[in-house]
Amino acid sequence: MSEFKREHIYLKHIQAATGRLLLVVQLCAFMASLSLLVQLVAIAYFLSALLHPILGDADSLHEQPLVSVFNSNSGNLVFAALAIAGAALVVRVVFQHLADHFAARAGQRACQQARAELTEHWRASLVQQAGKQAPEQAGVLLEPVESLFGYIARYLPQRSQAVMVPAVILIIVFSLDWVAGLFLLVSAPLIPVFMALVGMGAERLNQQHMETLQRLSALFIDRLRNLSLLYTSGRESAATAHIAKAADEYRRINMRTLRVAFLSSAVLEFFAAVAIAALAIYIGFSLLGYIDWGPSQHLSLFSGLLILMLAPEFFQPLRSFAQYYHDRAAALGAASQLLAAQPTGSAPSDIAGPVLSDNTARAAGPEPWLLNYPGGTYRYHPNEPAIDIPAFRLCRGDLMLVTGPSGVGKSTLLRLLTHGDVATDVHGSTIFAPLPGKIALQRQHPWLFAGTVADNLKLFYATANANASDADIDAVLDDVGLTGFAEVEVVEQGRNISGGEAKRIALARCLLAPISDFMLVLDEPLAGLDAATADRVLKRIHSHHKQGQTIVIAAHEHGKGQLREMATHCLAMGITEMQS
Amino acid sequence: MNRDLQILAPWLKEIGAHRRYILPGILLILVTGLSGIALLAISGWFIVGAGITGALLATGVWVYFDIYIAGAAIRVLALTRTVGRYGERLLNHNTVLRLQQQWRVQVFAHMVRQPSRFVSQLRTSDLTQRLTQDLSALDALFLRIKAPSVVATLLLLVVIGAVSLLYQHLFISISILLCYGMALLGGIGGARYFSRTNGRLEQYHYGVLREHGQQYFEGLAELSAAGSAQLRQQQLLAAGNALTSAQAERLRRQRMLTSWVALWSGAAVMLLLGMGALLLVDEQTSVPHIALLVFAALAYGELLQNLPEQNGHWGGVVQAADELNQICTPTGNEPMVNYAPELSAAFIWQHIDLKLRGKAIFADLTLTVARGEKVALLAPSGHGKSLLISMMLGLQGWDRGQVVMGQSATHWKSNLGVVEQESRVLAGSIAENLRIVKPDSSNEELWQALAFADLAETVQQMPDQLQTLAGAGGYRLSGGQARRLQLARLYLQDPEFVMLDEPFTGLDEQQQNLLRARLEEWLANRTCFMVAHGEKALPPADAYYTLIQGKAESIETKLS
Repeated sequence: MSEFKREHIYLKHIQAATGRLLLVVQLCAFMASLSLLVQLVAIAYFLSALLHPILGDADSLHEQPLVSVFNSNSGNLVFAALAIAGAALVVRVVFQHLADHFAARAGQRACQQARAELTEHWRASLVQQAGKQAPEQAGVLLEPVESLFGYIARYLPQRSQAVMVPAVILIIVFSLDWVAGLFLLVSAPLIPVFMALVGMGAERLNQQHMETLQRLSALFIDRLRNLSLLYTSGRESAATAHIAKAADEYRRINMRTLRVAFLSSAVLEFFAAVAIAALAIYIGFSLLGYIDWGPSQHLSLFSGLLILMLAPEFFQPLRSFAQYYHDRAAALGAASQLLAAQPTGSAPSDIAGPVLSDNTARAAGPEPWLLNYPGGTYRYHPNEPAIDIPAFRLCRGDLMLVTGPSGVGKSTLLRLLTHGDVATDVHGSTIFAPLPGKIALQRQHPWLFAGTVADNLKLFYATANANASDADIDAVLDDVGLTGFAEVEVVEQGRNISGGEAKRIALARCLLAPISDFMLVLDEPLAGLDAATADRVLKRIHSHHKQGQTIVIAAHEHGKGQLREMATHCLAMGITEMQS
Repeated sequence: MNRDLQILAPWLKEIGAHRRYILPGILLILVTGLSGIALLAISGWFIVGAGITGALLATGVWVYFDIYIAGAAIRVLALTRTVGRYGERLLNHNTVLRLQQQWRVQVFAHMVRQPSRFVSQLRTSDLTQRLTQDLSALDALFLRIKAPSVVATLLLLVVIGAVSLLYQHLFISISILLCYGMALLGGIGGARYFSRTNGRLEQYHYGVLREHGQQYFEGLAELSAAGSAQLRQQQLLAAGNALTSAQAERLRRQRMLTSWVALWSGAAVMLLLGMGALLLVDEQTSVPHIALLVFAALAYGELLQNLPEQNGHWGGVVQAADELNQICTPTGNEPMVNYAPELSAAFIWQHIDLKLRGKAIFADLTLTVARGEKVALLAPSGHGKSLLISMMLGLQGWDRGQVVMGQSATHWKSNLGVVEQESRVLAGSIAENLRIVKPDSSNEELWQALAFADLAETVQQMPDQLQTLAGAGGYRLSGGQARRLQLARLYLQDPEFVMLDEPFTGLDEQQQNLLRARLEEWLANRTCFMVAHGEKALPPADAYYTLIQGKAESIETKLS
């Protein structure tokens, strides 16, 4: 299955994080299975011993039935067997308990590892992530990660049990009666063959099923999010019908997957049932003496009973394995999702640290400039249009203005400046290094977290060892025209904060950041502001600039006049030469 | 538990309404379980019987032992079990998927019928995500909780019946009933009871992790720029670990219960063996009977093993049902817009009072837009301009006053075009996004609308032009492009009344001037209510108002 190669590698890698736990799990599970075998042997012995006096001395059957069993020495042995069966039951439960315990631990470790890696990757590939929907992306941290649990805690341990336990049972049965052993041996390999045949189809179907489910839930979420549009354009019933159709398609595809999955387990059960039935009849006929060849003449009631009891246990691990097979399919699907959420284009180590590149040269210490970019292009994806970035040089204390028509890539340039990524420049593919140091960033769709506006404003103080006073907060809120907003609760950007207010809160947050620690990167700070507020904001930016703060501002035409006067230089995107 | 049943009542009723699928499904599970138990029991009986018969025959005693009936029974049972299991699974999964589809559509239909309650909440991803999860959680109600528990209980009656029949000893029957009763109590009752608190705790940590994850993902740009992403990542991972330990606790309890069930059903087997041996002494039973019961008990015990896991879904199901119940219960306080098609005015807000989070937004606000008039409301953001539009659309309630629209209650939607403050891009093609307001429009009309909004050229350059998928997971539309798509949609709809909320957000000055002129011409014979922070952000209007202390006040502008 080369199509899942990357996924398999990923699962192997996650598995490695569980260390030796899986080995312990397998050992405990194996011990539990052994205890079960002991229990069955004891029960078989007990049952056959009850019959011993009858069979041993058939003539005296009616005169002296069973009392002898309980009075003789062998009687002790019989009750010892019952005691052993009881003890084995307890031991089995304990070992099974331990196996499950360690399996759960291993599964949890795998989940932790996956979460840690995923969050790390997000951090390392920020520019690529821009514009992706947070809820869907953050959702990857939940279900897909959880599906790794089943793979590690159930599927993998059961995979080894499915080989070891039948092997042990086969050895026991062969030593008792090789014909019976042959029955099992013949029926066992048929099972994996059929499973593989059915499983190959199932894997593809399962993948399709996961995709459909994702599409359906994405559609559902999307339609709910645009509920007001659907409502005001009177498309309620059409939208409901659309959802119904998608849900029906999901059901049909799901049923197709299930039919195949159930068929594979039905095949398994069929073979198990046929083998057990055939064994029961063979043993019965042997005991009756109808079969006068091979080992059956010497088959005792004890071995007959034991073989019959072992037969279901021979198939049980295989059946459990088939049952947990969907855990593997789910984990593969989850691995695809997790890998999709971890873009492969850039390894984290490439951009995480302050990487010095020949082309995007940057000052190491006394050099006056922070960044020196020779000009080039950036693409989000190979099939998306390239964004041209003109050459520029940014020095400490500069106020650089980035201008250009909407859609030309101003926000993208700001993302590159703050996070860095692999971009193409005049010399070929290279790292676009981020600005060195802390940045107070205002995005077009800023992030506000649940809490008061004042809490949000203090965000950049969480990293600096200083504190903003209430007076500072009130002053900056006045400047952005949000007087009296300090104690307003932000409820996940719900109704109580409009889009325009959120932008202004984010702007205030940046303006409040400690000037000596932070550079400012502002995306359209004046958009949507009335003239008076824009003036106050401009004044404030001017004073920050005078205090030596490095500032980068993206702006289209509004208020550009005043900004341009203030700016140390202006980078016009969409036009290739640099103006200063 | 009573409260749980109350919560589940509407969903159980729905399941009950599908009796035609449900009853055969349960019956098939029962038949499958029964044949599984009988297969092993009869095999055990057959072998022991054969062993005795063989020994007796060997010593010359003539006995009659019908091997053919037993052999046939074994073969039939083996086949019944396999076919029954396959059929049962297909039938029951089909039923559950059908139920789920129906529920999904019901919940959606409900929300779209009463949007005012959800529109404000839905921007928070939380609700949407939870909805889809809740709907998929509910399928455990029948498949894992109801059906297996009912079948396990019914099969207990069969097992007890067999014990009473073959041993004919009241004490043994009662002891076996006790053993299995304890097993069922733990496997069904215990598992359900524990899953309630554990489920809630887990749900809580799940929510915390989701919130942290979302915050981390959304805020990563700011956090990483400020150099504090690592700290947040640690917090996020800690939330993940808390969830993991909550799950570990649930699994631990589930393991305890599984062990509990294994011990009690194992005890039943031991009891059947030991007591059987004692009965044998008094010749009250025979060894084949003992074997039959022991094998039956082994098979039944196997079946009980799954109960704790299955019933462990109880807590999650109750919680999901509770949340969905809340969504599906209609509330009385829907905003009531009056529709008066005969009215000479188009929009009237009369003596409106509205308080939000303790702050008075509107105080006795009155504003009228006459037919054919273009009225602009200019105010800084946060003053509630957009709320006036939401009120007219029936998406926002108010405390006092009247809202009237000069359209009929049945046709207002087709006669009113809206550009909301937030650009609405559906996950779907550009064409689908436009046709939502006019489903039968031709491609030509779509291109015309796109040309009006200065978007035609952009769409022509897209990979699949009109069929390019946009929205979540599709082509990355910039803020300005998404805005122009709203204007194209408005043009295509060709409505009599128009409402605009900051129609030019994200457009550069050149585009803004172009679209301003085009909108002015297009609006000539229409009625329009528009809101923005300043007059330059709107096409020219006949009258301008602003909001002062929650009232609409007429103002003069430089342009007029």
